[in-house]
Amino acid sequence: MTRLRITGWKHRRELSLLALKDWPWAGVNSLAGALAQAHINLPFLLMQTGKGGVWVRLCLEQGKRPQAQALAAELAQDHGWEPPLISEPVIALTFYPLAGGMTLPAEALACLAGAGLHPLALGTSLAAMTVILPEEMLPAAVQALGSRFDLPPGSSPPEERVSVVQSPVKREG
Amino acid sequence: METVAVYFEKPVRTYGLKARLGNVALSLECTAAGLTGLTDALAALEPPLQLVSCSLMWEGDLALLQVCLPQDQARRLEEAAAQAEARIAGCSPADVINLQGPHFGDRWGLASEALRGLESAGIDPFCVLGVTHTLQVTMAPENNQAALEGLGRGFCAPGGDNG
Repeated sequence: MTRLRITGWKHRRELSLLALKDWPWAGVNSLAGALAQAHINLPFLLMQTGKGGVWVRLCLEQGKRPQAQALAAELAQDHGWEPPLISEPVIALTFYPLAGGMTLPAEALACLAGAGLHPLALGTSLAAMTVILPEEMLPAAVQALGSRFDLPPGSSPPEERVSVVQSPVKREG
Repeated sequence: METVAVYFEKPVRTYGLKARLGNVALSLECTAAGLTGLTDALAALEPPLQLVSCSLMWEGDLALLQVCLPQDQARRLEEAAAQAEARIAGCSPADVINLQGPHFGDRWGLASEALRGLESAGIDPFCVLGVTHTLQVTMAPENNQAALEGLGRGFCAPGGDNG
């Protein structure tokens, strides 16, 4: 079997996954606004219209989870929406490149399923794919995916070590 | 973590602000076993299935897979889904707008900016997906101009050309 070529992978740990079910778009917008006000970044987000409303999966730093959960819970209680559900700790495992085809997500899901692993969420961008997994699954996922992707034996995805942030104000100079 | 850059932009600069036209958004539902069968089948397709976006979440034991792909690819996905006994819960023509810019995945507030733009245009999208440096909005084709206008209130293309 030809091994799949990717040009890189990385992982980010200490994340929480917040799940919402059947919220209206206006409610999702309110929560996103509240999270922005609180300067909480969403390194992964998936919002999908379903039969009864919008289904949401948001990743955020684990340290910000109590604040984010409180904001979501307050909105839910005020409007009678389903309260948020939390999974943590989770990791975001990202692969490059996607190369515009279904092969990478299909192979990754098949490969993980073969090892008895199912991502909590998955999403693709123009150039990458991110899978969200419980943190304890990382070693097994790396082993399973490493067997299918063309990577040096024993390699593991590096952890993100630098950050870029949004400023609330414009700096002079 | 070490902070290596700080952004403040109004509007938020992107590498481009255009709609990708002529796609289909398919919503599939299946069990974990069905998902394994489906992904095995999709991985084996030759030539590979062309893709615009793909996302997955779970509702209990049910996998909810959303695939957006060029219209001419939809039949191949439907055939693979039928073989894997995955239920097609929805199938709609769809346009996609990608908002891509530097470090989008690291900067708070960008999802809110996009959602506010869509809300101001009166658009309820099929899907909003934020992965690495891309925010991807999937919507009904008749909404793409209004969505571009709404998103153009918070985001700009290079040179300020939002056309």
